[in-house]
Amino acid sequence: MANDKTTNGPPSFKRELLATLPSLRAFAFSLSGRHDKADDLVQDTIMKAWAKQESFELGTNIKAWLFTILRNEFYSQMRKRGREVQDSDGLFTERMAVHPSQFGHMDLADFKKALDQLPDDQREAVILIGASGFSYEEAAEICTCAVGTMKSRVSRARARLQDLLQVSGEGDYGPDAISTQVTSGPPVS
Amino acid sequence: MRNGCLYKKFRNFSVARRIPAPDNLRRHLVGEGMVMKDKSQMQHAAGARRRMSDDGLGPNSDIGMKLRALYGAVQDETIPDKFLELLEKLDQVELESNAQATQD
Repeated sequence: MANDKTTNGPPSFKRELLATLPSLRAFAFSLSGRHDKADDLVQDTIMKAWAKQESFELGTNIKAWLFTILRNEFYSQMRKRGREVQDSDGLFTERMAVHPSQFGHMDLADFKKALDQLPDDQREAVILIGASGFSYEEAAEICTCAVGTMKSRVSRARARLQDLLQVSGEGDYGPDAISTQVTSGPPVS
Repeated sequence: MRNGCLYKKFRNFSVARRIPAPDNLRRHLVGEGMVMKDKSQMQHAAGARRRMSDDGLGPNSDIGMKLRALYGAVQDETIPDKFLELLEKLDQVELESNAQATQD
């Protein structure tokens, strides 16, 4: 009785792909700035990845492989249509309102706005390193650039974000900026 | 263009890392017989923290924390069923065409 448990290709490729979907969606959202666009991107990525799964070796880094496909897809679509950033994603604020987080959702909405103002290469760099958990080497492979380039993009992105966040809403940001730096990290109560 | 060969570059990287899956996905994965390894998750998180600590995006950085909160908010969302259905469909089509091929 040879059933699908014993075939070793497609079923486990599917599982690997499934396991990567949450972070793939998060990356797609970070790139496109919108939920609807992000899910379209993820769908296209699934189709592409499925079509060329023979070129992927199981056990190697599927996350980096899928991120590369999604990123290529994003830029090729953007070349055709241009990036529509402005926050028509009012859904975003709504969604953030119910997400448990140590930040207020308006705080994060401001942060997202700042992120959207970065040049594309800096935005993706700071996300891949700061949020997706890739090493500089992996991120450089995904973006087909040198490791040094990746490092300088990240540091420019960070500096720019710092500027943007300090300028926006000076009044309400002032004292908090200091106290978050001092007290950052979850309380150990 | 040279995308076909991209996988070769990733060969040397560590085995695909696991991230916590939202509930509906987790159920799906458990149904598929896939076990999430908590240990490797923790090791990965620790590695990421070590690495980020020297580029201003570490656990004590305001920007780093906000980046991860924003990213995490989407990552923790329930995976839309359409993706699970799409994968089922792709799988089904492939199984059928394989069966077809062996018959011919």
